[in-house]
Amino acid sequence: MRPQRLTMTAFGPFAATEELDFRLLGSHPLFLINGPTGSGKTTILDAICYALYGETTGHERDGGQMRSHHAAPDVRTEVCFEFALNAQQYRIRRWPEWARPKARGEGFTTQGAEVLLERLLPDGGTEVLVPRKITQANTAVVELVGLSAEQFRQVMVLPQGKFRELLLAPSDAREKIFEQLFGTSVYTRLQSLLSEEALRLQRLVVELRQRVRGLLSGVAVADTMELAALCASVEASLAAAQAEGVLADERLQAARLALEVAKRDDALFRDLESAERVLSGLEEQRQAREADRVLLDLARMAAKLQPQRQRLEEYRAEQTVSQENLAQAQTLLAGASAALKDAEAARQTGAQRQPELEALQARRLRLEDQRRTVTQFHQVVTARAQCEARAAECAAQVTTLAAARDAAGVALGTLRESLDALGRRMETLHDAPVKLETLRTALEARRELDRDLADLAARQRELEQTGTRVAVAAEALRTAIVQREMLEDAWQGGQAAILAAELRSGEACPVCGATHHPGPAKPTATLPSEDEVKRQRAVEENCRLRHDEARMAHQRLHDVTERLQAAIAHRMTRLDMTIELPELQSRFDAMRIACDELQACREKHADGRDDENRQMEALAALGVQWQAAENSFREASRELDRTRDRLADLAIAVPEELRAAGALEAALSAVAERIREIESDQRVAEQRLLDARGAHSQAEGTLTARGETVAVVSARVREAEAAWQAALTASPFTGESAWRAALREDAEIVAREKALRDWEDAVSSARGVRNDRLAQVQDRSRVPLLPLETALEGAAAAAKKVHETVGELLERRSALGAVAGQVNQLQDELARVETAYGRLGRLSDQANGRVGLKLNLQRFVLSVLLDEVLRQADARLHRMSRGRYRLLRREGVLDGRRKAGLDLDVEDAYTGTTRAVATLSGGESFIAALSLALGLSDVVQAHAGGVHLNTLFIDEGFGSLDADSLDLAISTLVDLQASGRMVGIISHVPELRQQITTQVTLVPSGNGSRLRVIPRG
Amino acid sequence: MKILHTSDWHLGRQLYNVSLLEDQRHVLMQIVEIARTRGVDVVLVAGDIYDRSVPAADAVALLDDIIHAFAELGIALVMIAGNHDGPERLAFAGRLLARLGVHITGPLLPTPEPVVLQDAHGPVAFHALPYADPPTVRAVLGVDVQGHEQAMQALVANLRERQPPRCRSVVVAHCFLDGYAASESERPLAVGGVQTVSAACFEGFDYVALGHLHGPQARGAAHLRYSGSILKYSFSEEKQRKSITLVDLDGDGRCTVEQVDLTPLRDVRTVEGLLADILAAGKQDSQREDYIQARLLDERAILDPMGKLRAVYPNALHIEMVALNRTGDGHGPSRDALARGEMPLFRDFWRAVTDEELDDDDARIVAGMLERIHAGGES
Repeated sequence: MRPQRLTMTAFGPFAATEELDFRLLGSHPLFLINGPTGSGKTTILDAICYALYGETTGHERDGGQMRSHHAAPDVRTEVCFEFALNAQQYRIRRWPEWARPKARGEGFTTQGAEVLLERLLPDGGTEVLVPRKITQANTAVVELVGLSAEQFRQVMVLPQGKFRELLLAPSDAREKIFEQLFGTSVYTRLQSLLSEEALRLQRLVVELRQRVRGLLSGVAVADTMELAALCASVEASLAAAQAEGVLADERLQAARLALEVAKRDDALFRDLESAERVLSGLEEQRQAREADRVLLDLARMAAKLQPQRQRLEEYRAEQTVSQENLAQAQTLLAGASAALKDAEAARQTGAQRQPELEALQARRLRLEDQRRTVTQFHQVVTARAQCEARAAECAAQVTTLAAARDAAGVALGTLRESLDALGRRMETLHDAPVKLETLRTALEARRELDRDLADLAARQRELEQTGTRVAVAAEALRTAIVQREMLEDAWQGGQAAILAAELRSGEACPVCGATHHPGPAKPTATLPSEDEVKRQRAVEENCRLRHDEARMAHQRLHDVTERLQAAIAHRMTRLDMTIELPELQSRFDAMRIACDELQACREKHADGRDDENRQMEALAALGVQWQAAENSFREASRELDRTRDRLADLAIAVPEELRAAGALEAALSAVAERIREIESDQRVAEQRLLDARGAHSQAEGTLTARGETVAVVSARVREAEAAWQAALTASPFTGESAWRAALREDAEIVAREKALRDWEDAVSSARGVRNDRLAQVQDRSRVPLLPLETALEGAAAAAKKVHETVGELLERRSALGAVAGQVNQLQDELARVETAYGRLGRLSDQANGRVGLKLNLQRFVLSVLLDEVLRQADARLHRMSRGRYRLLRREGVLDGRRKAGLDLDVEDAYTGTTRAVATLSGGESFIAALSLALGLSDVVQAHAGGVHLNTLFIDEGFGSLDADSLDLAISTLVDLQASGRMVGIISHVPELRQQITTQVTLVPSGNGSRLRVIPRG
Repeated sequence: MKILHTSDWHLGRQLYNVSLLEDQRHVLMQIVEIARTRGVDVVLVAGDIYDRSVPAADAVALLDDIIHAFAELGIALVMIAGNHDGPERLAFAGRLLARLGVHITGPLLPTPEPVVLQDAHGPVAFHALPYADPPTVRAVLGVDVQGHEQAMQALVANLRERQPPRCRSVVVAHCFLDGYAASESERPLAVGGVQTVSAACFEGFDYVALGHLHGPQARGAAHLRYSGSILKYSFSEEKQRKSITLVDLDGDGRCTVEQVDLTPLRDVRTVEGLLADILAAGKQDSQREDYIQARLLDERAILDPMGKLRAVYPNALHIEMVALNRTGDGHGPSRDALARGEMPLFRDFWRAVTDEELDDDDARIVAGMLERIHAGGES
C-alpha cells in the first residue's frame, strides 16, 4: 500500500485545508516529518489511520476530538487519502461527526459521520466502491489493505510510545497478529477438516457394523455362515415343494373335467323339466282366459248404450239447478218485505218529533235578541279589569318612591357625618406645614455640622503630621547646631592650637594679648578645615530653614483648625444637640407624612361638600315624584268605582248563565246543533222507505221468472227418462245395475284383448320348446353332481396348499438372497472405510497434535514463520547494534501445552547471557522493535498470500538513541528505502533534519498549523 | 607558500559512547606544533570541524583554544563548514575574526570573496567553499540544479568569476569525489541517490584541499587530495595512517606534497583470538589504554566477556563473537519454503512430527481438503 496524497481539512491542528502530496517526495522516499511539538506531526499518521479505519493511532474515535479548534464553524472536518494498492488507485474520504451551525436560526445540528471509498479509474473518472455506510466501508478497507486497524498500527506505523507493543506483546497476541498477517487460518481449517473427516469415518464404521448386525438378526442368524446354511436348506425345500405342486395340479385338472361333463348333462335335463312346467302353467290359465273373452263381449255392448244415459243425466242436473234458483228468489222476496215494514215504522217515529223541533227554533230566536245586551256586559267587565290593574300599578309606584326617598335621606345623613369628621381632623393638622419647615432647617444645619466635624478631624490628622515634621526638623537642626559647634570648637581649638604652636613664652597672644601661656591649646587629632566648618554652617542654615518652614506650615494649619473649631462650636450653640440626627430625620419624615395627610383631607372635604349638595337635590326630586304618584293613584281608584257601578246595572239584564264570555254563543250553537240533528233523522227515514219499496217489487218479479224455468226443465227430464228405459229393455241387460256392471273403460278393453292374444302365443311357443328339449335328452343319462364337486374341492385345496408352500419358500429364498447380497456389500464397504479411517485418523491425530510431539499444524507453521521473522529481525538488530545483540526465541516450543512458544529474548554479547526483551533500555528497545517490524514486513512480503507492506512510518523514538545508534538506525532505514519501500520518520531530533533532506515541515501559527513539502533533490 | 591541509576534526565525537575529546586535543596540539616548527603560513581545515551541528561545550572550548593557538603563532587559518557542522554557529563572529587572520566560512554566500594572502611570489587566492546541499544551492544562488554534481558545478563557476587574474588559486571544499574510498564513519551526503561529485569540477585550480572522507587519499593528480581525519573514528580505519598534508606551493603554482603522521594518545585497533589468550597477552601489552575491539574465536559461550576484557583493556569498546555467529539455523525451512505453499509446508510438518515422508495417498487426501477449503471460500 503506497500513499499518494493526503488532504486534511479542519483536522487536528490544521485549521484550513492542508495537502501532503507524497508523490513530490519521490517514488520510494526516506523522508522526515518535522516541526515543533504540537504542530501536528503525529496528526499526519492519525489522519492516514483515520481515513482508512475511522480510528486514530491513539484509539480516539470522537469526531469532536479530531476536529481542529481553530477551524471556522462552518468548515467541515474531512480527511481525504489517496493510495495505490496492487496497481489500482483508491481514494477514501471520511468526515467525522460534527456540530454544524444551523442554516436557519441559532444553534447547531449534529451531522453524522460519513465515508466514501472510490477507485480512481485511469481515464480520470471514479468508481464508487462503497456507498456511504461506515461499517461496510471499514470492512472493505480491511479486505483491501489486508490488515485490521489494530494490525495496521502495529505493523505499518510504529507510533509514538507504542513501538514496544509488538516487541513485548504476549505470545497469544503475537500469534493472532501472525495468523492474520500470514493467513494461517487455512491450516487451522485443515486441522479441523481432518478431524471432522476422521470422526465421520469412525461413525460410518460403527454404522455399517450395526447395519450388518441388523440385517443378520432380521433373518434370525448369528453370522454369515449360518445364513448360507439357511439359504441352502431353503433351496432344498423349495425343490421338493415344486415337484409336489405339479402332481397336485394334474389331479385337479382331471376332477374338473369330470365335473364339467356331469354338469352339462344335468343342465339339459333341467331344461326339459322347466319347459314342461311352463307349458302346464299356461294351460291352467285357459279357463280364466275364456271368461275374459265373455266379459269383453258384454263390455262392448254396454258401451253402445252409454250416450243415452248421459243425456238423461244432463237433463236431471239442469232441473236441480233451476229449482234451487227458485228457492233463492223466494228467500229474497221475504227479506225485501221485512225491510219495507221497518222503514215505515221509522218514518213514523220521525214524525213524532216535530213539536220538539219547533220549540228549539223559538229558543234560538230569543237568544238572538239578547245578543246586544250580553256584548255590552262583557265590555264593561273588561273595563273594570283594566281599572283595577292601573290602580295596582299606581300603588306600587307610590311605595317604591317612598322607599327611595327614605334611603336617600339616610345616605345624606351619613355623608354629613363623615364631612364633620374630616373637618375635625383638618383642625388638628392645620399647623403641620409650619412645623415641617422648622424641622427641615434644623436637619440641614445638623448635616452641615457633621461635615465640618469630619473636616476638622482630617485637619487634625494633618496637624499631627506637620507636628511630627516640625519635630523632625527641629531634631535635625539641633544635630546640625551641635555638629557645627563641635566643628567650630574644633576649628577654633585648632586655630588656637595653630596659634598656640607659635606662641612663645613672653610674646603676646594675638587673641588675648597675654604674654603668659599657661595652658596652650593642643591640637586636636581631627582638625577640620575651614571649608568643613563652612559646610556645616550651611547645613545648619538649611536645617533651620526647613525647621522654620515646617513650623510655619504647622502654625498655619493650626490656625485653620482653630478657626474651624470655633465655627463648629458656634454652630453647636445654636442647635439643639439633644436630639440625635436619625431621630431628627424620622421626625422630619413623620411631619412630612402629616402634611400630606392634611392636604388629602382638605381635598376629600371639598368633594364631600359637592356630594352633599347633589344628594339634597336628588332627595327633593324624589319627594315631588312621590306626590305625583299619589295623585294618579287616587284618580285610578275613582275610575274603578264608576266601572263597578255600571257593571251592577247591566248584570240585572243578563241572566246568570249568559254572563260568562262566549256563553251566549255556546247556547246558540247547541240549539242549532239539535235542530240539525232532528231534521236529518227525518230525511234519512224518508229515504229508507223509498228504497225498501223498490227492492220488494224487484224480488217479486224474479220469483215469477224462475218458476217458469223450472216447469220447462222438468218436462224435458221426463222425456229422457222414458227413452232410456226403452233402450234398456231392448238390450240383453237385465237391468240398469247389470249394464253398469258390464261397462268398462276403453283402455281396459284394449288391454285385456292384448293379454288374451299374448297368452295364446305363449302357449304355442312353450309347446314347441318342450318338444325340442325332449329330443335333446334322448340318449343321455343323469349323474349326481355332489360327489364330483366334493372331489374337485379337495383337489383344489390340496393344490392350493402346495402352491402356497412353494410361494413362501420362493419369497424366503429371495429375501435371504437379498440379505446376503447386502451383507457382502456392507462388508466390502466396511473394509474400505476402515482402511481409509486408519489413514485419515493418523493424519488427523498428527495434524491436531494429539499424539507424539503434541505439536499441531498451525503452531508448527507459526513457529516456522516466527523463526523466519526472527531471522530477519535478528540480522538487522545484529547490524544495528554492531554485533552486540541477537534476537532469539525462547526455548520450549515443542511442549504444546505451554503457549510460551513465541516469546522473545535478547542475547547480549558483552555479558554472554540471555535476557528478556523487556529489559532493554529505551534506545535499545526502539532498535529491537524496529528490527522486528522490518523483519516482519520482509517475511510477510515473501510469504504467498501475505499482505504487501511497502510503507513504514516511525513516530519518534529516535530521541532516545545516542549518536552512533542514530547513525546506524538511519543507515538501516536507508537500506530499507533502497529496497523499494517508503519510510516516513517523525522526529524532532535536529541531527535527522540535517541528514534527511526530503522533509515535510509543519509550521504552527496562531490559528492552526501549515504544512510544507521540501522535495528531494 | 607553506600550506598545512587538514580536515574532519569532528570535535566532540564519541566512539562507542566514549568521548574522544582528550585524544582530539592531544592530536591538535601536535598539529599546532608541526605548524610552528615547519613554518607554515596558512592552515586549511576542509570541513567537519564539529561532529554535531550543535556541539558540546567542551568541544567549543577546544576549538577556541586551537584557533587561539594558531592566531598567537600568527598563522592564517581558513576553515569551512562541512556536512556535520551547523554553518551559522561555526561562523559566529566570522567577520571580526577575519581581521585577525582567522577565516571561517559557514553559510553559503552568494558572492564569496576569496581570502588573498601574499607570499614572496605574489598573491594566492584561497576560495573557501563550505558544504551545501542542492536545495540550499538553489535557494542561495538562484539556479535550478538537481543533485550534487550540478550544484558543485554551479558553485565552482561562481568561485571562478571571483578569481583575481594572474593569481594562484587554492580551493577548500567538502564533498565526496567519485571513485574515492569511504570508511564506516562518514555520514552519507544524500539519503538515497547520488552523493558523489566528479573530479572534473575542480579543474584549473592550483591546489584543491578536500575534506569529508576520513582516509587520506589522492587519485592521480597530487594537487587534488583529501587530508583525511585526524583520528581514527571507526574500526574500519584501523589500517589508515592518520596524518596532515603539508603542501609547498611554489611561484608557478606547482605543489610539493608531504604527509606528516600524527600520533594519537590512544590507538584504535582490533585484537583477535580466544579470550583467554587475549587476556594473557593483554597483561603484557604496553598499549593497554588503546580503544580495543575484540573478535573472539571461542566456540563455546562465555559469561561476561566484556567485563573480563575491561579488566585488562579498560577502554575495550566492542566484542564480536565470530564463531558463535550463526547465520542460519536448522530450526525449520527457509524463506523459500514459506513461499512454496501449503502442501510443501504440510510435508515438512509431517516430516517433523513423524520422521517419515508423507505417502501419496495421504498427500492426495490433504490436497483434496485444501482444495475444498479454498473452493468453499473458507479460510
